[in-house]
Amino acid sequence: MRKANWLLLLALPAFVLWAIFMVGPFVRGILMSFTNEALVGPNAMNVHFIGLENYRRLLSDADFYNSVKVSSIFVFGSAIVGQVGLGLLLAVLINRKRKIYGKISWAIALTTAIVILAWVTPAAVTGLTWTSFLNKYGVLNQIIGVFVGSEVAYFWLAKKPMLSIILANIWQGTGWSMLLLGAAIESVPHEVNEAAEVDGATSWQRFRYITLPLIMGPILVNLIFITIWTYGVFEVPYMLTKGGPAGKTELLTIYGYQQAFKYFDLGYGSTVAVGILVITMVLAIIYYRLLGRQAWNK
Amino acid sequence: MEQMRNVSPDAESWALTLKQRWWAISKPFSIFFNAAILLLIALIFFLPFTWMLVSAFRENPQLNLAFSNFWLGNFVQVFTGNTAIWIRNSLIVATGATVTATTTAFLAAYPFARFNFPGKTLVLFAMLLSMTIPLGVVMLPTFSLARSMGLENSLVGVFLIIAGRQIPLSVWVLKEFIASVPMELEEAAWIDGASKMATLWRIVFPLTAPGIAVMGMLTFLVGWGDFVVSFLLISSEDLIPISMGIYKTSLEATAYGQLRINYGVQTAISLIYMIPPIVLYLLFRQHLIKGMTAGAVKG
Repeated sequence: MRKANWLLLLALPAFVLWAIFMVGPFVRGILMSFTNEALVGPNAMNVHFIGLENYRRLLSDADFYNSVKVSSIFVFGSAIVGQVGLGLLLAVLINRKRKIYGKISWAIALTTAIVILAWVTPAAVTGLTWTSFLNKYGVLNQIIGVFVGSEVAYFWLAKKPMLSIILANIWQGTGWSMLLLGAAIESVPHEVNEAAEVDGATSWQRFRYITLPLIMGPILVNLIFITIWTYGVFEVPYMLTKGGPAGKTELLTIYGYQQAFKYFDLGYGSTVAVGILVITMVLAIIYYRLLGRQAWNK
Repeated sequence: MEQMRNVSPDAESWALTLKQRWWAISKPFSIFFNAAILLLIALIFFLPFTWMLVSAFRENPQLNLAFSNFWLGNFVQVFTGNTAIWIRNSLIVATGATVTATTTAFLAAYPFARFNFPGKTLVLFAMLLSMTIPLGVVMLPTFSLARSMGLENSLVGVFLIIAGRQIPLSVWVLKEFIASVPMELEEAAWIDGASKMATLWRIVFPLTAPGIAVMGMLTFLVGWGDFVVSFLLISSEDLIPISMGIYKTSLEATAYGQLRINYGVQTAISLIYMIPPIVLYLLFRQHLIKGMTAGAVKG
């Protein structure tokens, strides 16, 4: 390591880009939440600070509380139960150290490939894939039609909107958890498991009392990140339902977006976004307190 | 005593054979059960793809799944008309973001790897922290900022924003790569009279090329897959990237399936659109898993 010199200037372009386009929007968003900034109309010409007005409005806004509820159900269903739950199940199933791995490696290869394919699929294609899959004339209705023996024309996106966006998000996100938790499980020392097996522990007991405590750290980290990301998800749910019908899938991100682009209120939309930040921060701390202590005590 | 000594190994081996027998009986069931769950998950994950996969190879497909009118013409049509413009725009965004983010991040990574200076840890930590804020949360200020900078409805604006968001990860990774280049190599070149910029270009750059390639491809992928930034900034038809084009198709699909859109071309371009991420995953699978394992062990 040497002393700093003029070569420090090399860092300037990247620093400026980052400061403008990544830190900039964050700071600007917090500032905007205290203003009446608007997309069009008289307020667009006359932007000024209005103190805590937006926050007062937020706390008495029934639609905001609806969005908090919708987003939380979405996160619980798609992130916690879906991605982490299903991801953990898959991570256990594809573990290369299992005795039956050799016999089912073909099924593991196939499943891994398809789950990863869904994960690397760009958001726009996920949107098209699921709108077509859940369409009135779509594949899902055709399959159900085969089983019930008559034509089915159920409009899933309108009748079961929440389930639709949760399934689409699980479909897209599970690959990540599967890879991460799979890597964590494979890093558990084999000797510990073998010793326990000699002592007569069943495979469930070995998972519950050896593997699970050892991978609690990665699970916790994964849970925190997925929760933050999922509260921030916008594109695929927006593509599928646009927050409708009647606000049933109006996630916080979609609510904020619509405040800005439907009601032209950029200031209030930013206040909703600050609300998301506060919620995810509080949840991250709670997770850390609840699971973190448990994970590091063991 | 004699008896005890005889009984205990017997009992032990008896228990062992029982366990082996139990495993012999249960093993086929275990295999069947595990394979069945895996295949069921694979099937469920595969089903949403079927319509797209089939329709791309049909002439004038509708929203239902049907195996008729096999046709490859969709893949030819993709490269003419609107879809060709979408491809061009996506390439501009992805390439622009890659060049901007990778060049600047490489230059920045050098001082971060080689020097100590006040505020270094603070900046690195702030960069790490900024990565945890999802784009969906800062959509409105990002739009507002771009508008005030005159970057609205501009592909340059789109790729600058994407590049800015890729810088923290690129700097962090390239910093590690540069730190692994032995200092002595550079010092030897200085003694031979090479300037500092020359050693950076002739010694550090070639030795960190693999890292630069990885980060470059990752940024390309982010730019290629972007929907949100273009959706916020772009309003002209002739500037929309593939993602927005496909989105407009899926809108039609939501609205009960109208016939104005040629789903054959839309599904064909969707398949083409998926190729870069698939290729990149296959290329860097090992790095990704290794990185995840390292992260997992650290907890």
